[in-house]
Amino acid sequence: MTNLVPLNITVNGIEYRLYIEPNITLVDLLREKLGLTGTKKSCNEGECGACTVLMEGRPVASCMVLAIDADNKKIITIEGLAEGEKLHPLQEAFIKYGGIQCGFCTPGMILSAKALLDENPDPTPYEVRRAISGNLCRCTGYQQIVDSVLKAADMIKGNQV
Amino acid sequence: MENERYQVVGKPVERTDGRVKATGKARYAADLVAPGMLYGKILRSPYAHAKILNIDTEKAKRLPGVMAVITGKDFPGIPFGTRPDTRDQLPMPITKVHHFGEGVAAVAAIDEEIAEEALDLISVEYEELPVVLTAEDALKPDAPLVNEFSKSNIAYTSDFVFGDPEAGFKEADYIREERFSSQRVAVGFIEPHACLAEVDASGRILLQGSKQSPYPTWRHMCRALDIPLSKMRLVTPFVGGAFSGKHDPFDVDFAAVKLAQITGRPVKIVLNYDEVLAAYRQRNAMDATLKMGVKRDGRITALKAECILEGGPIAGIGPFNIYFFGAWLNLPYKVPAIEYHGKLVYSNRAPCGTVRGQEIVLAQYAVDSLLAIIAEDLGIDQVEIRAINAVTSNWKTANGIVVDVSGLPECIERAAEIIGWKESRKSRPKGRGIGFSCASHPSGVRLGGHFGSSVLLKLQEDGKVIITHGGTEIGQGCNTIFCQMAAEILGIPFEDVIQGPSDSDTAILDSGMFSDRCTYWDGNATIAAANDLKRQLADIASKKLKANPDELLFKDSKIYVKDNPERAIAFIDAVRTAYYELGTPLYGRGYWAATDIDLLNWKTGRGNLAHGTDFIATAIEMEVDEETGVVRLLKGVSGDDAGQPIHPVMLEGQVNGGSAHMTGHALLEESLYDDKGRMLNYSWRDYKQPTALDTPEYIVEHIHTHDPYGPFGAKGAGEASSCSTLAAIANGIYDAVGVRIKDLPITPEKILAEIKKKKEGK
Ligand code: FES
Ligand code: FES
Repeated sequence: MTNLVPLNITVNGIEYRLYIEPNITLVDLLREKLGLTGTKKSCNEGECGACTVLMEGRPVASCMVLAIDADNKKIITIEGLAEGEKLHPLQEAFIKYGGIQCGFCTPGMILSAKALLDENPDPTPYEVRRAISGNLCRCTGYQQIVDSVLKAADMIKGNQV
Repeated sequence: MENERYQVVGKPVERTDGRVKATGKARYAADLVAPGMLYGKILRSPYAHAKILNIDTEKAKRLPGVMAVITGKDFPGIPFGTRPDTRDQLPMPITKVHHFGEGVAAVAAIDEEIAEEALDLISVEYEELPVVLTAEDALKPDAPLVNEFSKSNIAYTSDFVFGDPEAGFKEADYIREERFSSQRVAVGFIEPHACLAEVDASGRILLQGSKQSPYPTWRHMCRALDIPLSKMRLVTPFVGGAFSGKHDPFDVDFAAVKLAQITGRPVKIVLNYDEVLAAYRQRNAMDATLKMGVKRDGRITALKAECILEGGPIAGIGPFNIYFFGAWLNLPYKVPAIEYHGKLVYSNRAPCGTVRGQEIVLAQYAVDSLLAIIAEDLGIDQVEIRAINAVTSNWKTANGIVVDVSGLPECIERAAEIIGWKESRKSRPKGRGIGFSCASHPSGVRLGGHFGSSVLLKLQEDGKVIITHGGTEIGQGCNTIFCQMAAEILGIPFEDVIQGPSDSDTAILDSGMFSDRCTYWDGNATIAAANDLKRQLADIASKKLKANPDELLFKDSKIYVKDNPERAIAFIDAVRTAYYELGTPLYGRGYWAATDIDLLNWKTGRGNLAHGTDFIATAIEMEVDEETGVVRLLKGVSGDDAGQPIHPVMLEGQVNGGSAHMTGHALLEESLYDDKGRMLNYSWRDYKQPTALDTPEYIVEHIHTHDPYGPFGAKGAGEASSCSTLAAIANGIYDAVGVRIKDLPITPEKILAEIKKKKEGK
């Protein structure tokens, strides 16, 4: 049995104090220990972006992050975006404008897009493509994902007015 | 205009699985857990072809935490396959391995680490065999046999002649012959194979897996496990993409079931993506030679084609692939006479199924590329030559496919207009080009008597309908459109139709989600089921309204007399009457098969095969850097005839997705093997699928037609879109820099080499 190490981590606004194996990755911690299976795992080597979450507001491939390196950090997963029944504009837009087909890339895609819009509320189509270029999608051909992100940007700006 | 006739059909309603997917609550196979669950892992062969002399699992079994270890010998040894004459695969191999990464043993343990450790303790004694890597290897007279159930390396053949090709070539003013080839590619869905198997106290198996077509999986598994169909239940959770890569049962599914049977505990197996890339379904490698004759104006007079598909160690659905390649040379252009010879051969590469668009993708690539070359030779405009040859409505192909409605001429016109074809002929920047291509695809083929679809609608006492169908929502949106169709017929709100689970216990026969068939076949079954319910309700309402049941209309949650909307009862009142007064619970039964289509004769290739041929014309603008050979796709346009759009946004997504998928096949993707048959690039680090930066801005223009047999006039869509991209890109590169690459993928190296050759004067 490996020695467990302490971890303080805040996920979607909830603080956890845990003892974990030092070699567990963030994606496995989220999925296996915290039951947050919205974060997907596919390649487990940082290539597909399915496991993307926000760490201190920045998108990371959670399969490439050791959970201990998230000590004292704030994590946002797909489960943390909606406020109760009210969806985040990105979620609304992805549903409405065809950004979702099989949905397997969707959590990672939406979080990469959120990181973009948090920093750049008015991106060009090219900037959107660049921001999601680490997230593979085989279903949509990306066009409707780009459309969805741009519409979400509009929605967010509208809300701020 | 058309859309106004409908309340729900043709409207971009919220997709039924949108919310659950957008919030991360959708459960895919890897997310499932069960009490006492064990974790399974598979040991894989390092050789592409080797005898299995012995597998020693004793040490692994003794490792604390390991609950069971199995090999191929734990299965009954009954082969299964897509067709009765191609039963050539086992759940796991017994006497020899056939490809790199093939599973030879599996372990179930209390956690993943222990399962992993146990794999290291299994020792397998192999004796290497010579490797059959290519079609050429396979066809050598002294080639070693790949599949132990077959006496030849030819897994299937398809040969046919229709019309009079000899006369057609005689009549031609110009003839050209070219050879085209296409590489091995992965299917590329993002969710790796995964499943959870359980066995209940009576020995009944519950398998929850990421499967595309539950019916074939269920049937093949029961056969190979030697159990009656009633002993297994298959439930499909959310599926993270499939594209024809998840039809049949895999060692993952078999191993999970066997391990669950032995241990009496639930067993979950989730693959890592490198395993998927190395050892699971890919697209056949193709080598095809086409000869085409045309009149001076570009009209095709005859076509002759030979095609060899190299398909790995099993036939799988390869027999369909090799037939389809030939059959679909008859479209989307008018080919009056055709001769075809196709061979599917075994090899020691990863097993093939197919990929989105099936081998129709390759056929359309070859035929359209050749037409483009001929147009160049004869100085005919690329758009014009396609317009001249485009299949029109009420056309019967030489091999007997009846095209009732073709929007292709309009698809071509609109795509050319939107991309700015005419202007681009006058002038365009250096290195810029536009590639044009057309394609078509069936809306579900009838390949066997059991091809059919069925739908059950349960109308509850609260007026809501639960829909159960035998297919799978794999992202294409079928669950949403079936709800739309049922709501439309019953005249109730879309929200009142609810998608039930995909469960083999409640769903009835459906041959699967492939061949663009689900909208068409299951859609027609949905309409039939809704009409069945409607009849039951009309019976009740007619008594209350003292009217003839045939005179009743269902709309706005009301049932009323056609010419007298005042004489009405609420939909819910008819439902309540059934439940609370008459004791007659309401359920609708619907099934559909294109039974007026002849069953295909595999020997002669004759048979009209399918209704609802869908069409697409694609134009892609690109920039090719003559210094680096790098191709940048700038803009794509598709004019797409999918009949009546049921959900315009999702339809557009299907076209976008199919096209983008094939940009990878055209330019980036290739599963590479060394000379021993070991795959070299089984990680996404080395196997490059298109990202958002590789795919162009895309415009889809729906050409609205009405198919006489399709549900509400709809046709299929998701696969046709993948059939016009390869040629469009190859043609566009030629347009941009004047070199034609006929072996896919078109890499910068190949482009540079051709440019160099051209500069040196060939
Ligand atoms: S699973 Fe983390 S990037 Fe693919
Ligand atoms: S929606 Fe299926 S992978 Fe993106």
